[in-house]
Amino acid sequence: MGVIDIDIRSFSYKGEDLAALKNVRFSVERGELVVLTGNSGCGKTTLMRVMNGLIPDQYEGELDGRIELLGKSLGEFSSGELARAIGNVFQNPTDQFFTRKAADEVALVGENLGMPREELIERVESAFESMKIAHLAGKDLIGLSGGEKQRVAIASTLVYDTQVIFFDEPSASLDHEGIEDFRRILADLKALGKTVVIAEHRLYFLADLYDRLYVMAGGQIIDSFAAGRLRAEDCARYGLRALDLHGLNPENHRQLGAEAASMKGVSVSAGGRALIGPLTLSLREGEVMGVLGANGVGKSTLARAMCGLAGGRQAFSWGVRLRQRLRRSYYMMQDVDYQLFFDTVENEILTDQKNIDDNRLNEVARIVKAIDLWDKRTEHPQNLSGGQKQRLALACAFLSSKEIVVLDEPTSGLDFMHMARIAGLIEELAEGRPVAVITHDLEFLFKVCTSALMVGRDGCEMVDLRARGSSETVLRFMGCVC
Amino acid sequence: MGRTGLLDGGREGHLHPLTLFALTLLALIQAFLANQLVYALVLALSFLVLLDVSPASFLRQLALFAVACGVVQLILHVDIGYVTSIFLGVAVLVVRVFPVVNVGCALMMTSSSKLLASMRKLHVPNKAAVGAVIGLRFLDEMGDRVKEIKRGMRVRGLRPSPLRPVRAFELYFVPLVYKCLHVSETLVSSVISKGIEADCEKTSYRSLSFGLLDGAALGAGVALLGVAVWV
Repeated sequence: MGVIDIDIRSFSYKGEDLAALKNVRFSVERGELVVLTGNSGCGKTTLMRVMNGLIPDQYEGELDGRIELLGKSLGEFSSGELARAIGNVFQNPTDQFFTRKAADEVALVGENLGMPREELIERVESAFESMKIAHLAGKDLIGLSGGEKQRVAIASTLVYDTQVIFFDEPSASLDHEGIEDFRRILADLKALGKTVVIAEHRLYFLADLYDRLYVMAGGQIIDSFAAGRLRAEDCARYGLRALDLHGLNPENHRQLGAEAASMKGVSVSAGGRALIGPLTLSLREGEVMGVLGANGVGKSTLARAMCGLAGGRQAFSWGVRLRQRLRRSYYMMQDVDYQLFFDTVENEILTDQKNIDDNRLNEVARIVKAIDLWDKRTEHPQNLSGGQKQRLALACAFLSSKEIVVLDEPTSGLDFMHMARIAGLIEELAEGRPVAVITHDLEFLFKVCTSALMVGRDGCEMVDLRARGSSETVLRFMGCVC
Repeated sequence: MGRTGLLDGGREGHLHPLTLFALTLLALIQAFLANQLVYALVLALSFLVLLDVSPASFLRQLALFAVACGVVQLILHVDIGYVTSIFLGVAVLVVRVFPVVNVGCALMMTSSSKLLASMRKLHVPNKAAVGAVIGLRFLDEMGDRVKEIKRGMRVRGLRPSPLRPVRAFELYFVPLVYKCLHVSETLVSSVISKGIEADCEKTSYRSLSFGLLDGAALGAGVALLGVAVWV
């Protein structure tokens, strides 16, 4: 008997005919680290919800099967009691926090389950110490980095000495440094004897940690691998993310056109603190420039300055003044929810209703088909999935006819297939104009970018990815090579 | 003496959340009943409450109050026809509800944990208490979200016009509502998995007790309400 025993014949969400899970059977032993992977929509998140009891509590549906935790059926746990046995860390740490201060958030589970105050104070302190974040206890959660937020979220699962911890796509909002940090946290949790279940697309940081890895598709487990048995060929066969970043090499060797844009001595700052600059570089037609660097180093601020949303008067060739730059550039935000305003996918793309002719309509139809949203063209954009919204926002950028396009982390949380599709679209988008892409995703960078701007705390360096040895320079910058 | 938590003694205002809640209600009633003198005293009290919680917010509200008063004076000296009285009415109303906004800001900046524990002490049903605290949490973040939406509009070349108020409202409202719905789904899952629905006596990590300042603030609030009603 394992810590978790799953035997699900089928599960369907309320109002849906198609089963979200079918014939899922496995056990997780005490102290194991289990990874669930597969393309978006394969059933990973649903399986996590079944295991952590959110189905049927929060998400209604018809479940035919049995889930046992610590030898007891989930249905036998009284309301709220599960919180003593399992902890959850959701995809976006910011959204899951109920309180403003880190210590309040960690203490919440103890308060809810009636832990005496004296004991709660002691347990909260010990949880912060276990996660090595005692200095964060009094901090506002909103100001913490992605990695720090992850640690606070994990600390909250330690107040009850929780046996099992579930992570849903924990790397989605982390930079490379944050992922490395998270890898160390997982190693610590394993050392503490915790049982860990992770639903994740990115696999490279889990390669030497997992005890069992399940590949899912269409709501089923289609393959499983014991520790260290997953190979690069298996990843290719199932369309999974890379297992090892060291084998990656630049793939976009296109010929670039004439110089299309440049910046001279550009500097950016935030809150009075100088971040980047002075930066001088030029971009050519067809160039896709990846912008790399740790969180907080100033990449998004640079992007906003390039697009006339910040930074004041600066020597950009496409506009010294903010208004000029805003008119001649396009910025796809990190959270695209904030730039979708219309009632259907069609209207979102056809904002300029005055200049519609047959050519324009044909071009729009081609793009909508290319981003695989043709069947959803009459749906509300905000009802689309995360990946679909990202593709729609990209289509808007594509059809904007702006001279330069800046994309802020367009592939965070995407599986390999969707990442590759976005990369293809960006390559097409860059025909005849330069594109700058802020990214932490090295697989994506090497797939589509022709150059990389590496933004460090001590300065910036530009690398031509078509040149020999460039991948090593990038990997070294990202801390993947010593 | 018992142990203190990692946040006890930290700067987050000295007033109990229930005192702030009571003061918000008192300020709301006085906004419509008080004469000039009582209004001035209530306003001063509300600024003191805000100063106790956040000096930065105190300064921001003070500046906004000065601007609102300036607008009232401007309208009084400029005749723009029959709409003058409408604009004047709105401007005076804004100035009048300033004490409510000040104390409301202080309440919104209070820790969700403290608010929840206070409501639990009052035996407010769990679902209502959690709903109210989540609502306040969203209000607190609203400004940042609106700023992002504004940025999104600029990028897309959309300019909300005061001449088309419904369209302008729609442009802000639709993404805001969807964003809040998405966040609330994760947040509700998170609090459920943290045992918020557990059927047991809840405890509080923060020390929650009424102090002298609570007594003084409530006493002043009630006394001013008495004067407002009497006069």
